Amino acid sequence: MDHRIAIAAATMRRTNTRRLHRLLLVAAALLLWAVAVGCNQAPADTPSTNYSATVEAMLPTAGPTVPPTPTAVPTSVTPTDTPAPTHTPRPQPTYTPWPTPTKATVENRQRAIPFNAEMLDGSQFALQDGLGTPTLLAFFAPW
Amino acid sequence: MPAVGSLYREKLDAAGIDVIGISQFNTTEAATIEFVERHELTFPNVFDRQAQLAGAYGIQGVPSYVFIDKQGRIAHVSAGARGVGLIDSWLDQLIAE
Repeated sequence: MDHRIAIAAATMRRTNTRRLHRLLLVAAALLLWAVAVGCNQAPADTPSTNYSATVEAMLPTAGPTVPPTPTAVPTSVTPTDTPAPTHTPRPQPTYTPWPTPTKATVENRQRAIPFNAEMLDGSQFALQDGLGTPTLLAFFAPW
Repeated sequence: MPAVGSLYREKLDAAGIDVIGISQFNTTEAATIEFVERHELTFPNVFDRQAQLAGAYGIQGVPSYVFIDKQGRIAHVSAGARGVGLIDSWLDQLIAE
């Protein structure tokens, strides 16, 4: 007997829960509908005094309507002679060639400063070892 | 410097002119080695860590070039991007001396 009562109570609880869910669903739908209708509603039709004044100020003032006078279309257009732009040539950079050494300057050359330096492989280089061979020293930075 | 590398391979080496690259050492040795390999600078290159050589030769900036004649005298000094071109244009005369 108690067993039947327990089953009946459980069934009632389940039924009540379903009803509650349905009720909540309907309430939510009503709320959404109300919000949607509220957003789409036009503002009140009774504008304030300031609003009316603003609208009147924006409206064009009534006056005699004058039909626009048609502008005469020229039958032929005579081009006016515009003076050609004056071209000012840009000044060209002056190139001064490297002076050719003369006998005197060759004789007056300074002696190169001998030096020893470490090569990339760690060995030593001496400039004076290459005496008798023309040598170009190229100073550079590795970037 | 790539221009010097090209000039060396195309003309200077064949003309019997030595080229010494002098690296102004303001980064790392590895950076210099990588630079030399990347630009195929096949001539000898040395480090100038404290810019002592640059100071001795009065070098104000890089790249700069000093041409030393057979007698061990300074025949030509040039700097900047035009430096290699000037050496190239002068080469015949420098060799003939």
